[in-house]
This record gives sequence, C-alpha cells and structure tokens, in this order.
Amino acid sequence: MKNKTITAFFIFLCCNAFVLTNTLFAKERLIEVKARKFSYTPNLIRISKGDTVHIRLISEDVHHGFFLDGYNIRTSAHPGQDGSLTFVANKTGRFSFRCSVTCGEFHPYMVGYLVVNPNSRFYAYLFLTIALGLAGIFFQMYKKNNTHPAKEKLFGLIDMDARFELTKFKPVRALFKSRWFPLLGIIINLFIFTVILLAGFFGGYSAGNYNFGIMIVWILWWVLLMFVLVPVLSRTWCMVCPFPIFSDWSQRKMLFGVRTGKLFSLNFRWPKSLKNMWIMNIGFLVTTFFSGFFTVRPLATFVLLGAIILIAYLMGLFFDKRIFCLYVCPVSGFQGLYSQFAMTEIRRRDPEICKTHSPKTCYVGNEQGYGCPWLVVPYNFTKNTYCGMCLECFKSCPHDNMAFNLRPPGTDLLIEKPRGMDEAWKSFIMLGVAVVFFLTMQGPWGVLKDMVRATTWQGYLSFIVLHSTFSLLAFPGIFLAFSYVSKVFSGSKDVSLKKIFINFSYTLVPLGLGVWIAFSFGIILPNGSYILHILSDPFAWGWDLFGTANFPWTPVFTRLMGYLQGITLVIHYAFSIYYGFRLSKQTFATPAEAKRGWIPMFIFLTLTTIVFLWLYIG
Amino acid sequence: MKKIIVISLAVILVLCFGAVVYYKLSRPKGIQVVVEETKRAVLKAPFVDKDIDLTAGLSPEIWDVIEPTEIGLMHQIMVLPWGKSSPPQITVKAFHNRQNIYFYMKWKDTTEDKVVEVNRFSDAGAIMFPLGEKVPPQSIMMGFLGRANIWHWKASQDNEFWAKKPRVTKAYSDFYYPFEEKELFPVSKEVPVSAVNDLISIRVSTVTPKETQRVEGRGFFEKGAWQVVFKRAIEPADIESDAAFKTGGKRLCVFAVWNGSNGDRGGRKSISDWVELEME
Repeated sequence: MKNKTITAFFIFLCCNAFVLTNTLFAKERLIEVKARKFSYTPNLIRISKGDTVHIRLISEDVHHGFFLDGYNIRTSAHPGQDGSLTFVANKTGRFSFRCSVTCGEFHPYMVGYLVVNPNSRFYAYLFLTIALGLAGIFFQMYKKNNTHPAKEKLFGLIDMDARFELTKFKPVRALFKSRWFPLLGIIINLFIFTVILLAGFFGGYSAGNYNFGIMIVWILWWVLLMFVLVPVLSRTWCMVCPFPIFSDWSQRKMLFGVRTGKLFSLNFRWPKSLKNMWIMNIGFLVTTFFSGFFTVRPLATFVLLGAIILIAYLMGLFFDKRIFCLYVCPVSGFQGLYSQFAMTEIRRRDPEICKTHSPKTCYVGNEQGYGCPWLVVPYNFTKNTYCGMCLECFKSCPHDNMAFNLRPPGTDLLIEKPRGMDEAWKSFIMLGVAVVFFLTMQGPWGVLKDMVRATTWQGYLSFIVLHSTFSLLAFPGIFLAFSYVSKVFSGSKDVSLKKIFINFSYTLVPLGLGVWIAFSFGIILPNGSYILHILSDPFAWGWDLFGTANFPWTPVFTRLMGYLQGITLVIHYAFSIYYGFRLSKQTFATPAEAKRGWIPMFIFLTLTTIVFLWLYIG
Repeated sequence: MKKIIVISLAVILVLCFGAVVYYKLSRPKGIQVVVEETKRAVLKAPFVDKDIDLTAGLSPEIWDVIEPTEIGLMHQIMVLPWGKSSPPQITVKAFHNRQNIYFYMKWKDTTEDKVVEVNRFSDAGAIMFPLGEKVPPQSIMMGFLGRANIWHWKASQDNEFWAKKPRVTKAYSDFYYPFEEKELFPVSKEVPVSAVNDLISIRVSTVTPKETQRVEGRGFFEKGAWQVVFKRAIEPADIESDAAFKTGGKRLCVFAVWNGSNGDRGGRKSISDWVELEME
C-alpha cells in the first residue's frame, strides 16, 4: 500500500513537471498591447513556455516603443500606426518590457511585465530562500555555541575580529595624511556637480534620460552608492561629498591648509534632543514625496541639490562644524545606517596609545589637521554610523594611530551601544521607500506613476498618505507585532518590548541594503547607456565631446537582471538571519530564550525576503 | 562674528536661490521630448459663388476647377477588427459659397457595393470634424479621444434615398427589446432622410445619429471609382454637436472609407490622419 502511494505520488509529480515544462501545450498567441504615457495595457502578460507570441503594439498618444528584456527584441509604433514583433517564448521567468522611444519625462519608467510560465527562476529563488532559512535556523537551534556573539565567526568561516589594515602600506597612509586628500576628490566632485547643477538649470523641463544632471545623480551616483560606496567603502561618499565644502571653507577661512582657533561661525549648540537621525529620517521621507519630479525633471534636481548645498552652507554659519552632515543631510542618514554593514572602517589602532595621549588632537585638532568635523571621538568610536571619513584624524594624530581596515561585513551590527529608535525607523523608512520606488519606477502600474508625478492633486496626496503610512506606521507596526510575538515566545519577562524591537530592527540593515542593490540593477542595466549620450552632450546643446552623443539606447544584461536581483536578495537574507540570531542572543538573557525569541523574527525576515523576491522577479 | 551679518547673509542667499528657481519656473524652457511631427495634408476650400443641387447630380463642372488634395489612408487599428485590404488613396476637394460648404471625395474601388445583405456590406465614406479644442495628436479613429461630428455617407443608404430602392433583405432581427416601447437601435429604420448620417461621437462605440439631420450627400460609382459629395449649411444649428466652419479660418478633419466587398463595416475601415481644412 505504501509503495503504491509513493508510486502514485511520483507519477503525479512527473505529470506536473511534464505539463509545466513541456512545449507540447504551446499556443500561438496574438497580444494587442496599447501604449500610452506611461504605461501599457495590458501591463501584465502571462504566457507559457513554447508559445509563439505575436505582439501588436498600438500607441494611443505619442511614439512609443516596446523592448523586451531577456529576449532583446523591440518594435515601436507611431500613433495611429502599429508595430509588431513575433517570438517564441523559449525562456521562462518574468521579463520587463519597456518603452524604447523617449516619450516624456517618465519614459525610463514605462514598464510592463511578461511572465513566461513556469516562472522557474522565481520558484528556484523561493526554494533557495526557504532552504537556506531552514538550514540556518536548524543549525542555529541545534548547534551548541556559548561564545559571545561578537566573537563568533561569520558563517563559521571568518573571525569577526579579523581586520586587514590598508593604511599599513606607506603610500596609502601618506595619501590619507596628505591635505590634498580627500580635497582633490572633493574639488573634482565639485566640478561634476557644478555641471550637474547647470544641466539641471538649463535642462529645465527636458526629458530626464537625456539630461546630465538626472543621469549622473539618479542613475550613476545612486547606483554607485548602493553597489560599492556604502557596502564596501562605508561612507566614502561623505569623504568626497562637495555639498558641505563651502561651509568648511567659510568656517575655516582656508581653502587648503589648517587654521587653528575658533571657526568662523556663530557656533550655536545643536539641541541635544535632535542629536539623532529623526530629522534625517523625516527629511529623507519628505524628499521621496518628490521622487516623481526630481528623478525625471532636471529643474527639480537643480532645486533639490541647490537647496541641500544652501542649507549645508547656512547651517555652517550658525552651528559648529558639520552639524548638517551629522543630523540633517537626507543622504547621510541611510549611509550611516547601511555603513554598519560595510566591509571597511576607520578605527584607532592601539587603544593604549590613545589612553595616554593628551590632548586628544583627533578631537580638538592641531596644526596638521582639524578636530573631528563630525564631532565624534576618533580615539574611541566603535561604529561607522557617524564617521564621515573626512580623514582629519589621520592628519592630526601624531602617533599615526588611526587605521583604515578591511573587515567582515556587518560587524557594527553587533555593537550594542548606541542603538535607538531613530536608527530602527531609518531601516523601516528605507525598506518602505524601496517598495514605493519599485512600484512606481519599475512596476507596470500606470495609475501609481500618475499618482507619483502628480497628474492630479487627489492622486498625489493619496500617494503621500499611503507612502507615509506604509513607511512610518504599517511596516513598523507589523515588525512590532512580530517583536511582541518574539517576546511572548521567548518567555522572558526581563527584556522590554522596546529593546526587542530596536535590537532586531538591525537585522533589516543587510536585507535593506540587498533590497536597494537589487533595485539598483533595475535602474542601471536598462538605463545606463544614456550616460554615454549625456557625457558627450551634457547641456543638450548639440555637443559631441567624446563621439557618443548619438549612441542609441542599449539595455545591458537585462536578461540577467532577475538572476542578479534574486541572488542579491538571498545573500543579504543570509546575512540578516546570521546577524539576527546573534542579535537575539544579545537581547535575551539565556540561550534558550534567545532561540525561542528568534523564531518569530526569523519568520518575519523570511517573509519579507519572499515578498521582495515576488516583487522583483515573481 | 556678528549675528546680524550671518542672518543677513542667510536671508540674501535664500532670496537669491528662490529668485533663481522662480526665474526658471516662470520660463518653462528646456529641451522638450522630441515628438516627430507628421506633416499634415492641407485641404483648401475656396469661395465659389455657386450652389449644387444634388438632385441633379454632383455638378462636375464646378469640381473640375477646384484644386484637389491627395490623401493617404491607413487601416484603423485601435480596436478589433482590423482592415483586410490595402487602404486606398483618396482625392478630396472642398468649397463654400458663404451659405453652404461642400466636400468631394473620390476613391477607387473595384466593386460597387450598395446592397446590404447577410454577409454583404456597403461601401461608404465619411468625414469627421473634432469638436472642442483638445484634439489628440493623431486622428487614430473616429471619435476615439473626444467629441466629434461625423458625416457618414453609405452607398446602401444612397441607394435607398436617391434611387428609392428598398433594402433587399427581409431577414431582420428583432431590434425591440422586450418591455421597451420603442426601438432602441436605429439599424432597422426604414426611411432615411438623407444619404448621409449626421452623427456625433464622444469615444469608442458611442456613434449616435443626431436628432436633426442636416447633412446632405450623394454618390456615384463610375469607372471603378466612387465620387461622393457632402453638403451642409455653414452655420451650425447646435454648436455643441455641429461642426463649425469659419471663413478665413482653419480646422481639422479626417476622411474614412469602407470597402464593403472586403468586409469593411463599423470600425473596420481605412482612415486618414488629420487634414487641415483652410476656408478661404
């Protein structure tokens, strides 16, 4: 009986696999796709592997295109005329089709989805995520390990204390100690951002994909930030950021050298209650309300960047040092949060030297360098969050006791102090913004695009309300519910719900970064080729500086996008569950409580990862 | 450092930045999206101090001296079904005599289809005039994206109206819904008041005959071609639903043709892009 059941089940599985993968059931499909600024109807097409698909593209307003990722085929249609293409759906998965003819400001985000069933890519990553999660939690539950979380090996492979000092190489240290560095990088960046501002100003209402400002800021810079600068190099962007340089020069009354004494500023004290990320959190969220403008409208980018530079300068007049960067800059907040996961850090070398060294020149400054402009104490800080990597401490330390280290990613997540609600909410906001950005920029729903670009006040206000509610209340609310279940599961009466909520929120740092990296693939791969155009013709004045002004729009590796997004999410999910369990051990008093309390949060992280997998490739 | 200096500097900088942004916002320049503009055909309607009595024919002696405009057609592809045959080229002319405006359409057709039967369809021609100022960049299809006044001449209706030949087919459907006192669809109307239906449309599937039919028309099939003339008083009776014409002014119009023997009917037709009508 048992054998018969197994045989029947096996046959059932084989039949299912046959039906799902066999092309005998392939059909001839005629699909009429209507294009209108900035969406397709139907926006989601489901077909089966092996189908012969005839697409008839019809434009209802201006000239629109149809480029199918993965298959790299395209057509276009003028209004009143049709475009057509035929292909055999021999690749499975979800593929975006996108407009290939510049049709308006939201053109880069005019997207629809073609799902070739079975969507084996999504199911493979789903299986991988669940298998990895189950293996991870099985290992965590049954492996006896009583070492302190911060002393454990990352995935049992890399010592968490392992550091490789890059500044032990003399040329690197000499570079870090030079006053030209990072000033030269700032000046180069200043030049680039001057061109960006000019392009934004003169570009006015142009289509963003042919504007230097839009392309460099929102396609290249943002993607570099998420791909390399933050996850690998911590806050390297802050090191070379040109926004506060006018304030620095004004305060110091020096362009290059070091001037000791009081800074040229009213030197007001920043209120203690605001020494956190809350202003940055709200500032970043409010900035995203205008994402439908500044990511596509050159003038909006000009206003945004101009306002940031102006505010940075004005704050430098009123407050000491880089208060703006520390507590106000909307870009600084998420870099601070995600730099905890970075693979590099600036730290003191030998604590004993710092103990005996007086005065603390890294904080108060000397003739060689300014006291820390970020108001942290370089001789004693333990997290990347508020270190802007300005390198003044390298210059001012007479003992060369500062180091730039390579390290295992994420070690800061286990640093217990300082942790706070502000950083927790930063995690939620970043994930909420990622969802909203994905839906509006890479999703196929025209109604959402209309809301975000404010075609009606009603729609725009609805977008703001929904976005704010989701990022500030709904997502944290769900997390709070899981935190409560965690507390109940753990059986601990000593640990507060607040502590559980805050500590576990740091598990969202690796996952959040993975979500943003995966999102960035969807930005750079389809749209990166526009950069070649704008490099040659930055002001759209008909220049052809490098002979690339007429380079056509060429999506790159879009067939790999789903794979890259999937693997990025899974890898960062692995980091999240690794650190999650360690955070659980830090949160709860006993290993047994930690194991029980970890389970609900593990489920939350797994579900969140699955939701993002579904969103990106499902 | 004095507070007053810092505050003054801050205010000046903020005002300067605001002024720069305001300046740019008030001058919405920029490199706009390049939309390839198609060159529209122009149809000139000169003043000719003559009248056409359609009961006597099309008055070819008048049309012979009026400059023709050649217009290419394409299939209507916005809604199914799409056309089957090659779209024809049409010749159009127009004139006015300050009382009436006249349009002339001529297109080649291998068969004269003026009888409607089961699976037989009539040849037809039409002119559409958009109403209101918001006009889509391309004609796309008649009445697709806004209000339009359509003059629809049908060979079958012409046959009934001018030749007084009743419909051949007797196989009518019951167009009366149960419990309705009057017929809801106009398809079974017996006595046409003109060879041209004066219609109004506001979007797809809303083509509706107007209460007052003001357009006259007549067509003749000769030497493998249809010649059709439309006539209407220049002055609109109802500005909401009648195309308005102004001497010395311009307005847009669109021409469409149905080839009955190829199965054209309803949305299956050939249609032109916008044509600019210039009334002299």
